Amino acid sequence: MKWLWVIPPQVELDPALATLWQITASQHQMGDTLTLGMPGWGKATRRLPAAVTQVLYTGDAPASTDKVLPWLRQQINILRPDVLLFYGSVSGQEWAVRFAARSRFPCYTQVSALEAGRAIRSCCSSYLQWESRLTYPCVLSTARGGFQLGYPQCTDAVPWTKVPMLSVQSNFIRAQTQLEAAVKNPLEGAKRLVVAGRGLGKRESCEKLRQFAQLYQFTVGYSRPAATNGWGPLESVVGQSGTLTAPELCITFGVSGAAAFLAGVKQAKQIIVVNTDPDAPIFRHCDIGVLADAEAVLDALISKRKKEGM
Amino acid sequence: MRILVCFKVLPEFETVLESDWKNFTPQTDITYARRALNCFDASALEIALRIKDTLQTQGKEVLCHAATLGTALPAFVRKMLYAVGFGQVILLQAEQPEFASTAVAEQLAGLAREGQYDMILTGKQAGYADTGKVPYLLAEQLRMPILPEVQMVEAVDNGMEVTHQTDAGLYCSTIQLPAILSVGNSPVNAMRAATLLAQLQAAKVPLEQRQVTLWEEEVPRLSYVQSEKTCTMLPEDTVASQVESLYELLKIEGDAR
Repeated sequence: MKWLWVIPPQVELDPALATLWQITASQHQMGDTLTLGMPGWGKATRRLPAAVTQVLYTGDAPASTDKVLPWLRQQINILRPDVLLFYGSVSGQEWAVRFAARSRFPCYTQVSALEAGRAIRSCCSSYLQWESRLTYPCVLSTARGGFQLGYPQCTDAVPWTKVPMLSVQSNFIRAQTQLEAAVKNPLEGAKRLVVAGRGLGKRESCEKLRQFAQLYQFTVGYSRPAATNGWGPLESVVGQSGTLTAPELCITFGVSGAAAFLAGVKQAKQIIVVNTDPDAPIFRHCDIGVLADAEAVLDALISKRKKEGM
Repeated sequence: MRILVCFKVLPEFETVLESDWKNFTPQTDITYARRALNCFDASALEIALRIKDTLQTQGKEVLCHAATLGTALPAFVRKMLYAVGFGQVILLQAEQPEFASTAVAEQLAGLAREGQYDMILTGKQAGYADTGKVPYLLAEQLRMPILPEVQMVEAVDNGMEVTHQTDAGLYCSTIQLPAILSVGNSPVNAMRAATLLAQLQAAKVPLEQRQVTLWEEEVPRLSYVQSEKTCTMLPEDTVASQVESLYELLKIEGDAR
């Protein structure tokens, strides 16, 4: 089989490579060719998954959709891959769908696994698992998060070939200002995760949660309602609309457990829930439940940790 | 200016019976489940209304339409959309529109071409499938540029100022129309409420309904994902005793006992 991975520029490379490899690994066989396409990237000497047979890169030119899609078409005509697998970042998702539409290839987005020639993803707010038999060639994009970092075997002896993109004029964006630089997603690879939900009640309670996180060495995430209320950054949303996580330990405070959120924590080894509502759906999806006021529990945990001199 | 917002009303999946999930097919009747606007579409609808407010205060004419594709539209949604200021609410009525992203995008594109809209707003993903494909397929069908992961849009003199998330970070871009804007996680997280008077007046405004036929797309194999976890509740004696138990679980490896 011939694979083509596509990684958009400006993303964290290690999580992207790990994600792509974990999806590919179950179907990859000896003798398969795996090309890594890196539009918008310069050449870099680095270790890659051992299965990668070549890298095609464009150099550090801005990689707009109008330039990348024709560049991909050019590579497809030469490589004739069976599977095009896009890292599911903002650009990766867009490129996957639009390239598939132009090429009339079947397209499956937010794929979390490949098994026996089928693409696996969740749907209906993760109540259901979706399986589609792959027909080739096909286009896939990966789900965001929920993968382990790292890949078992590496190589730095992969040939890098520069293939420039054609220059394209566009008047669509007249002016652009960066408001915030991209930061490494703290949720990816987090081993200990605490999540703030709307049930915390107010922004000030989130400050306590962040204090708790610092004392107990947890990474902080937010349910979508909490983040869109401005209690935390939108980039730290846990769930189907944000990041899927796979921590060793996850504790939630004031999270009701909408299915779209549960999709973001279902791979956690252990889930502890603190909520005052005994009917909250989240209690059906956790290991340990605490029926108590979230703020009172946070206050007590913070106080205990400080008393113990930690 | 002509603005179209594509939206979807979904069942609240938490209210669907487990027995229906276990035997679920796209034909399973879950009309008993509560319905609500998809959260991203609610943001898109409110953003459109805010743009309309801004342009109207500048004396500019604005037409704001809302369109959905589905088997039916709950009356409360129709009334709400008219009451908050949408000039037209359109239902493209089709059987089994789920798991048919390409066909849905084709129909919405047809509507958009007919209406000659300057700006199309959508939520980033919705529906049973949650694939997030329709906005991009719409862009391909209409050959329009698209900005995904939009958080905010404001009307400015020379176009629209859009705050949007990219792989490189958060950007503010001034864009030229026509364009498609796909709204993601946004601080504009709900659509405004209408006054009672507006709702009463809106009750009389009819829905524009058009029958469309979708070509069949492959339906995936669907299976219910049961939770493997069984919850153990900590005894509810006092917060202090609960915290003692929690503390042991939360201690960092290597902490002194």
